[in-house]
Amino acid sequence: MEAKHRALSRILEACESVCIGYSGGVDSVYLAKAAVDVLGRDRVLAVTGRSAAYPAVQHRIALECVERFRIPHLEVETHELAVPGYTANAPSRCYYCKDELWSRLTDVAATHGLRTVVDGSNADDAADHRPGTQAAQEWGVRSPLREAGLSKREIRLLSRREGLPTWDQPASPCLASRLAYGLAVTPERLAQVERAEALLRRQGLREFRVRHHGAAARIEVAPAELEEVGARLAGVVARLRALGFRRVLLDVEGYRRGALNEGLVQLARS
Amino acid sequence: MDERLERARALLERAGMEVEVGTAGAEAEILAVRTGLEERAAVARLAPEIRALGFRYVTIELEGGSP
Repeated sequence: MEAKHRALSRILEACESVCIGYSGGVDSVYLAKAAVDVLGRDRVLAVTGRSAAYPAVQHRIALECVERFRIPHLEVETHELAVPGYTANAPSRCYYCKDELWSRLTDVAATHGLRTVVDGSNADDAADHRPGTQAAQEWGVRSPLREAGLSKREIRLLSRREGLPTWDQPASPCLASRLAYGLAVTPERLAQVERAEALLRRQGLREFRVRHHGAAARIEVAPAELEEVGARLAGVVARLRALGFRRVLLDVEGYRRGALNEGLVQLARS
Repeated sequence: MDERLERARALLERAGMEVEVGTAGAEAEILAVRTGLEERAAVARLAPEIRALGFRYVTIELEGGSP
């Protein structure tokens, strides 16, 4: 792991100056802090792309970290909801989202004289369905963490060593990832999901997803929390229905990262 | 009744559960089992067989009360 940490420093030095796609997640916070440590504040800018798909809870963490570690930061509006390829919500959705994001960040980098646009992809990401990677490649975005061979587990360990509060933060992808493929992405549905998850968070659940299947909300809870889920969900169902879900379902197998991608083989064949 | 539903109900019955079942989702890809949460683990043990019937997700339908 130490060798990979040193490799990361060399990669960042080779980038000379960086514009970072910064969401406030485990990876991008670690990357931003590492970039500031290696390059100095005048050669780093962490940029957050904001839209209706960006969770408010993630935004709060992002701001807390840039303030606490004095990371130069900028926010830009992204408009992926105006892109038909995105709102159609096919498995290629992330390509359109990242295409929009990297378009904006490339402009920011040019405006601020920053040489390289970078993202927080890590070495584990190659194993998952990630159409956004193609957009990153097309825009010439580098992925220092992945290039250094750093896994999610290693990034968490290094984050903990650096005193980053995100070291044990659950993954928090954009809200559109909660919508079943084929269900159009709309601001209303994104808000439904965000409110539903806020409800469950207030009930004390830590790692979970509310998957939007149109009339139904399918709740996935991490296996470690499934035993207590009955107590946690007491009184919540009626409030979830008040958000517009006619049916509320608990997935018996629990939270599985990328669970909506489990249907991709069937979709490809249909 | 959807043949998959009948087979899923039979699977659950053979495991000792007398339950109602239904589907959810745009493609009826979700099996919704109407039973108490105390049966979650038992239903979860049958999930691989239920998914082999053609369901993508296996769930327990939660009944609401007052907020």
